[in-house]
Amino acid sequence: MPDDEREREHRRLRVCFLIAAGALLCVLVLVVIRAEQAPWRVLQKEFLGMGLPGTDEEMELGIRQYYTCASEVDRCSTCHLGIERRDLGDDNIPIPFRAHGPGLGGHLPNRIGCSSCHGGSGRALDPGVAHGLADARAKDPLMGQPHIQASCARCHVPGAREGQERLEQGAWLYLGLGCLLCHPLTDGGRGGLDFGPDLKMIGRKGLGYLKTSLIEPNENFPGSTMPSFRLALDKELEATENLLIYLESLVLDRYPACGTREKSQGMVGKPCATCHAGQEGRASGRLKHRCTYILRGAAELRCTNCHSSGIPPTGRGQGYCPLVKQHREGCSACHDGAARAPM
Amino acid sequence: MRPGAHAEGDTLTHRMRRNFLFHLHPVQVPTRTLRPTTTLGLGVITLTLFLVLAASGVLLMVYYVPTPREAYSSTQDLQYAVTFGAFVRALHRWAGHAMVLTAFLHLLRVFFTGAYFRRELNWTLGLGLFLLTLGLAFTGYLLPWDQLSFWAVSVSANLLDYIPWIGGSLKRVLLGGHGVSQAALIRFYMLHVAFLPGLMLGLVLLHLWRIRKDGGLAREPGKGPVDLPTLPAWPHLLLREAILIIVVLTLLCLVATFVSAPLGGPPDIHNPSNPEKTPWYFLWVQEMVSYSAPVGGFIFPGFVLVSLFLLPFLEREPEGVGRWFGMPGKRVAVVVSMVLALCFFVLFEWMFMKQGVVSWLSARPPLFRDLLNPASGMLLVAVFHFAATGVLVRSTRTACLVAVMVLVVAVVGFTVVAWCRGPMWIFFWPWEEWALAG
Repeated sequence: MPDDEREREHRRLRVCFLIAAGALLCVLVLVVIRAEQAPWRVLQKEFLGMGLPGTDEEMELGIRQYYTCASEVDRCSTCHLGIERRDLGDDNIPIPFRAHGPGLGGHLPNRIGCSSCHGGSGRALDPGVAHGLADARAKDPLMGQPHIQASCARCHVPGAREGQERLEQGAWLYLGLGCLLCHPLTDGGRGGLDFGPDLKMIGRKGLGYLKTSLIEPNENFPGSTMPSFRLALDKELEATENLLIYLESLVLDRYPACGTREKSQGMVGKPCATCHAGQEGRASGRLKHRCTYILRGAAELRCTNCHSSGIPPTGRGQGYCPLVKQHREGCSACHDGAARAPM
Repeated sequence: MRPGAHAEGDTLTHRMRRNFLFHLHPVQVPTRTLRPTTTLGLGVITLTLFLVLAASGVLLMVYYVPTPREAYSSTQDLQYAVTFGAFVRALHRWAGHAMVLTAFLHLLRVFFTGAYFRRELNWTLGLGLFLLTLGLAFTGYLLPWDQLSFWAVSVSANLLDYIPWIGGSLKRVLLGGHGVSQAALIRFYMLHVAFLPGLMLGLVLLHLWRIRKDGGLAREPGKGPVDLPTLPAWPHLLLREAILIIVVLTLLCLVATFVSAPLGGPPDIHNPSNPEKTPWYFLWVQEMVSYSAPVGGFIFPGFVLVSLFLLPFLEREPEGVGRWFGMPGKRVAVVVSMVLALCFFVLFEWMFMKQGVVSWLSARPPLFRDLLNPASGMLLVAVFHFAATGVLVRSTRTACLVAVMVLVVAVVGFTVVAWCRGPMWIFFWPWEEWALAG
């Protein structure tokens, strides 16, 4: 190759090099711009630009995070910036910035986070993932009523507090329809394997799937020996949904360390003392069972046949109620691990 | 002061002559080396990807915690909260996948240009590097600890069971138990961040050193650098390489910023997804195992691996070294065999997807299924092509080229078929919706 041609070649290569380097630089700038356009940054800028009282455009916000009862990171308030601000409850304020509606009670976001009750993926800052389950990309049903009631079971006995009626009815259906005769609740009160398959995760499958499973068990599981609940549930979509809400509560981890947890939930640790009020944890024999199912189902259970003194039974707990004993697995519908507890 | 440091005419070109890179490249290189079609730059691309992976991997290590409790949540933190975390994660992921692909293509390039001729050591080193690349990709696959990675690694580890005698023990050593658990995670992490990259770095340096010692790119024997037109490596080679590296980096950054690395839900150790697939680079083995475990899990991959390692020791024909597909007059054999292999592949797959054939086979002893399936079929086609070409064309190089072409068609074909598989390993076309039949 002659010298001048080499020189031209060299020049061409240098130009190509500069173009490539320029392109790389542009792409790196693009990377930075894209990172700046993360959804939560855009929302925070929008929030500051709204000129709401107590905010200032110069304010530094950044990622804000709380911790759930199980010490999981919860970053929801990075976008839901007004969630704790009572003064931002106005309907004109768009949703991500508006304050939490009534009914929060003592469930303050800075104490238990948002995902404890609302589900979703609290660590994520991508709205699609944060509002859904990390694998599904569909919105987590727990995000809204009435399915959010399933989360109550993480700390509370179904029916123990107001506002969880659908969950309570679902738990009652689980007992009443006899689901637990084949699908027990021996695995910490949240499922287990016996005659039928474990139902711990079925709450994730949705209403349509559950309805098919109940009305046409053979459709989802060919060869299933499960009876059809067509007569009981075919027209009762709301009842099926209640059952789904209860089943959704089985999916969720319990928060045993939660401060507001009912005492009766401690059955795993001190099974006898939970029902039998005793001194220093020893059972002294008085049955103080305030189980909502026994209280409300007293007529059905025919408690008065034995307990003539009235309900709740407060007599000496010597002759354990054969009915409760026989069906004690039903206690696990609310109490985790109760199946092992002596009644 | 070194002589000439401030000498007259101390131009960039003169200073570049003392550059460290001239330990890697000679001062003058044959003009053939500079032609893009000679190597397609695959080695340089693979090396660039390796360096990108090392750099981004170190950044990921800052946040990643290798315990089952923390692995998934630290990956989530990287993906959502860490500044540029999602970008670095995507960069690492896509560079990893790309490196498997480019290393494979580099291997094919070296093979199809006959460049392994009298370079037994470097060919072996290169094969070792390819296996290390697969090992690194595979061990890294588990680390996000999501549903996808957990089950993909479980399925892939189960493929080891099909190796006779030592398969079960190998799997236990790799996983530290019978299933994927804490023990497996820490082993994979150690392999991924320390052992395999360290080994890889050493082998890469040896690989590069051997290229220089073997006289640069392969060319026909007897044609030394003296006989060929040459150009100075600076700027003609080095600038070309620099441009290629920058282009690779640019494309990678572009992909990483627009396509984020997937992250599934937390692993559900009781419920595998359906279908559960290995990482794409092992799909061909999984597909073949679905026909016949001994053939697909051991005989076919073992045959390919052993023949690749033995290749430069057995095939020593000097003609056509450094040229794509050997001597010009014999290239037609390679093309014909590729077309034939494709026909055979489609025929075998079509037969094997016929319900009648499958039920006829399942009524026979297992040996029938082991012998009569697409994997065994393609292996036989490869052997037959090798023998027929050897006799007809009288060239071992062409016979090897033809046989490998058949195997490449088989591997790529099985990968594509496995990629199309849906629930219960039923075949669906890509445009069909996955639905369970019946």
